[in-house]
Amino acid sequence: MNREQRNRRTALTLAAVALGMVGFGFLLVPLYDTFCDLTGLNGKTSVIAEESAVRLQGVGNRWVTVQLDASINDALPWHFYPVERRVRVRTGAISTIHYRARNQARHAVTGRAIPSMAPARAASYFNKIECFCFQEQTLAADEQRELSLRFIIDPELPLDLEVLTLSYAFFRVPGDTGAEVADEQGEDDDV
Amino acid sequence: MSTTAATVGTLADEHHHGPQAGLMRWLFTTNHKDIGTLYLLFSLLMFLVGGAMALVVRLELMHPGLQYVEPQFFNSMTTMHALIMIFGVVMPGAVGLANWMIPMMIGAPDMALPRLNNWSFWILPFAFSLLLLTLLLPGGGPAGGWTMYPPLMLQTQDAFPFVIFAVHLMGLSSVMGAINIIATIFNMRAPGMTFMKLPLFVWTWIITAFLLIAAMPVLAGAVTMLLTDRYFGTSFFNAAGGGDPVLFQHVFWFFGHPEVYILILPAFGIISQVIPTFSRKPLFGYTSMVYATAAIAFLSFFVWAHHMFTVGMPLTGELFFMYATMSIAVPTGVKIFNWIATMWRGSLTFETPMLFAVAFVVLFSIGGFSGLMLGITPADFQYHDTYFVVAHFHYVLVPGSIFALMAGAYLWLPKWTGHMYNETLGKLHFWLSFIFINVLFFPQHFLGLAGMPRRIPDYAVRFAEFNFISSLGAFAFGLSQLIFVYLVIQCVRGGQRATDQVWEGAEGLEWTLPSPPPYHSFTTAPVVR
Amino acid sequence: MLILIGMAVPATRVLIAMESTGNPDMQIKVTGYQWKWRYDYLDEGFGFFSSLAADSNEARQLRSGISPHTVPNYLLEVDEPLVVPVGKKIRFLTTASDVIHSWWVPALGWKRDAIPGFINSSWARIDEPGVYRGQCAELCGRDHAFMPIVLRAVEEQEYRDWVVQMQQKQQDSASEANQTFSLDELMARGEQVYTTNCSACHQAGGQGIPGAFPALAGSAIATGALQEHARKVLYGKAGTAMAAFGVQLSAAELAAVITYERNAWGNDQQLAEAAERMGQPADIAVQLAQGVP
Repeated sequence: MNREQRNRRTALTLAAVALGMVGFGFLLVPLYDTFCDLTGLNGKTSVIAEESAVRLQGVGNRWVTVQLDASINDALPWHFYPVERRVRVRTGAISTIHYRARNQARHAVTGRAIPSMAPARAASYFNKIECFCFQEQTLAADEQRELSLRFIIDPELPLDLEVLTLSYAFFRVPGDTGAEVADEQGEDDDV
Repeated sequence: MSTTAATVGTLADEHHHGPQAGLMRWLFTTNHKDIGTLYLLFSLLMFLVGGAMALVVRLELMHPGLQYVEPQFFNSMTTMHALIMIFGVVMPGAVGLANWMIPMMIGAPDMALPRLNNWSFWILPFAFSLLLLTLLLPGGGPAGGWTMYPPLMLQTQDAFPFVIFAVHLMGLSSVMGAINIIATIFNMRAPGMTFMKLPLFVWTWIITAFLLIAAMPVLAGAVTMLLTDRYFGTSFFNAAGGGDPVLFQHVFWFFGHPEVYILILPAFGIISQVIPTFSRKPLFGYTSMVYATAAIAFLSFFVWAHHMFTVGMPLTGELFFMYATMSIAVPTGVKIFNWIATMWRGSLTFETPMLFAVAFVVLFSIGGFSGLMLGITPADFQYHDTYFVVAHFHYVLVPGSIFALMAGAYLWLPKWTGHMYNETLGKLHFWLSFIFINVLFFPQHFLGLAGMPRRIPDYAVRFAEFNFISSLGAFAFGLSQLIFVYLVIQCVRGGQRATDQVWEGAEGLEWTLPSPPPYHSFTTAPVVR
Repeated sequence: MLILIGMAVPATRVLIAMESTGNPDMQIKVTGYQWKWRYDYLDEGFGFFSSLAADSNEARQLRSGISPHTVPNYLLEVDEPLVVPVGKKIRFLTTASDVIHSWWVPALGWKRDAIPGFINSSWARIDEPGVYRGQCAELCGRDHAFMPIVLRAVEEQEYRDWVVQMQQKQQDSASEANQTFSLDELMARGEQVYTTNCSACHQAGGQGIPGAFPALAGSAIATGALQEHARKVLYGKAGTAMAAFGVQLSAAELAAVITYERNAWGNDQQLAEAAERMGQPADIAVQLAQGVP
């Protein structure tokens, strides 16, 4: 019947649209990431290659303060702190700063550092050339490690920004099972 | 449309198949009226369940200090109340009305996809049983708010997968319902029933159905990501794995804001049916009404981030979403203006449906204004997540969507049952609801402005007075709804016979059918000039 | 339409002013925990936790029998308020350790979400000395209503004195790690620490909330090996509200609360070994330094 066919076609088309929208929901994830990279939304700092850093070099001559901050997520048994609490750096010059991390656990633990910048507006001018946050860090039992970061601040940094805060939050990598074995044993006791 | 007549002819032959007897009739029914009735009854039942939860909340908030429930249980009450009222009351209520009225309004024998229709209803009882049963699980029901923000939502205990699955089912049901409604309206109209002749209720449902199809799957995607984050080691929203908890809020509100209009657009449609009927005048500015509805729906996809101004967005983003939000006031203003213009110099009578509709226009406007206040970013920094927000969205949802559903129920009850309802009881129901809804929600504006955050089971003593008044209003409003339950039962059982037209000013195809209408609405397609 | 534009113009101007967090005089990092706040003075290099005051905490228990009207500043008082100098532009950096919170002092005119892994910045300059109160504004679980904010704005000199005092206090608590305490001392201190940090979930009587939060009274952990018990407290349990208190409390506080949990509610009767009744700060410090076994 003509009308029944038409109904079926409408229904199938709409069902396809609905399925497409499920896909779109998932597509929002990479879209959001791209958007964040472009705008520095949520204070995600930029990454640039060595060569492009050279291009920024020596252009500006402004001094700004970078305040260093460190946080640690509950699940990560590390000590983590900045070696220098605050540094004065020149825009358009490559600078290096250091953090220190020490694994408190008696086994290897893997963590990942998530950078964040305040004010978020400054994030897109803060260009990292080399950073410990690019990779996951695995620290052996009791290991202490110096974590360094090389960066260059774009001389275009708006004039009203003189104090930038760079914060790293160290998280335990999901699925890192180093201590879970020990954890499981206690599992039954506490419920 | 030459084939229409032939199709209708074949369906006419099946007419002698009246309803089956007993339970089987309801379980296997493919009839739009039966399914509409099921939807409406389900909605009423859930209204009582969700309302009871709201009363638990208001009971605990009546006085400072914790007297009755644990904070965790309180949180699961607010969470479940929201999920039930949104997905279990307003949406099924509106779909129920659509099921009943759309085929009758467009001159069709039934919905386009009757079997799908049966499915989309019967999924719901399962979904909500699943949701309600989580209360019995160790760790209790979901308590992370209906917005389900991670990481908090991921701390939900055993209830977690069941809640996600229930949300999937609710989404599936409403998308199936939406597909059916669009197919019906696009393919089943009577000859001569062109798009610009459709009653406004039908128009608002076309637009709502498209919103549903576009928005619900995004919610399904978002909660699926929650599920995989918890059980399959993905890191969509987990900062540790390179994800971002704020991303969930973006995805959620990309669904969530259109959802707001899914809840209110059918209400606009109902009001646009009621007001002309009792003004005995055609709707003022029909075309502008249709375009305003479409404009609201379109804009609703570009304002989602106004729910999350405080997460820390770049200035440009905050400005964009502020301007976009404020611009929604324009088409909404057009609608309010048109309703008032329809009443202007009409020969008005105030039967119960009209009373609810007029209250809708007034109280919805209050909700609209507080919404505008919230849309202004710097003001929202202060109002966000306070009782001001609670007052705002309850003003648009209760005297908004719920009052409109009530207006629709009173308008069409005589048509559905063939009996007039008890007008005195109806008016009593209205006045009690109208008075106590304001006693219930108006003080919450002040609480918000005074600094009371939302979703808290206990509060500082300075908030005690307004909370007490609000709780009194809640109990009185809740009890008044029992009048409605009684009135519906009474009306189904008997009463003064209703005429075909029922209301003096009623116009449209649905009023040409007998009251109650035959099992298959239009067995021969009417011709619309 | 004109009205809308009339509203949009001043709104835009205010918003731009609110977002200019550029050049602060000082910076405070605000970290949300389930369910308390931590304040770190980045320039001064110290920080502390700020939890609901003990009297409010007692009164807010289900059917406590204490009228909230008799408790001064019920639910709006903390044990350790945030102290700031007046007349300084302060940049507040908000973040969280577990779930999303929102830091809100109504008198400042804004709130800002505290999101794990990210920092948000906002600013305030307080001109009037005084006490300003606020609350967490984003649902963060069971005790969302019970993590207030108290901000005390004082004159510059008073602020300086307070900083010196706080720094001294932190040194003291570090040296406590080497002291030895008696059982009574540990029990008294432990009860305080327990009330502030543990009783929300595990309940004052240690009975927990069945299904949601495990009981401690008679539990295998609290009556089992001391080291295992300490491990749970120090490092928490991933994926639950049980936080790693090793980073939140001092060694002395940890020793006290662990001792309290092992001796209260009749647990001392059930201890596997009587010798394991109490922990000392030094042991805890060693265990902390050794890390998760």
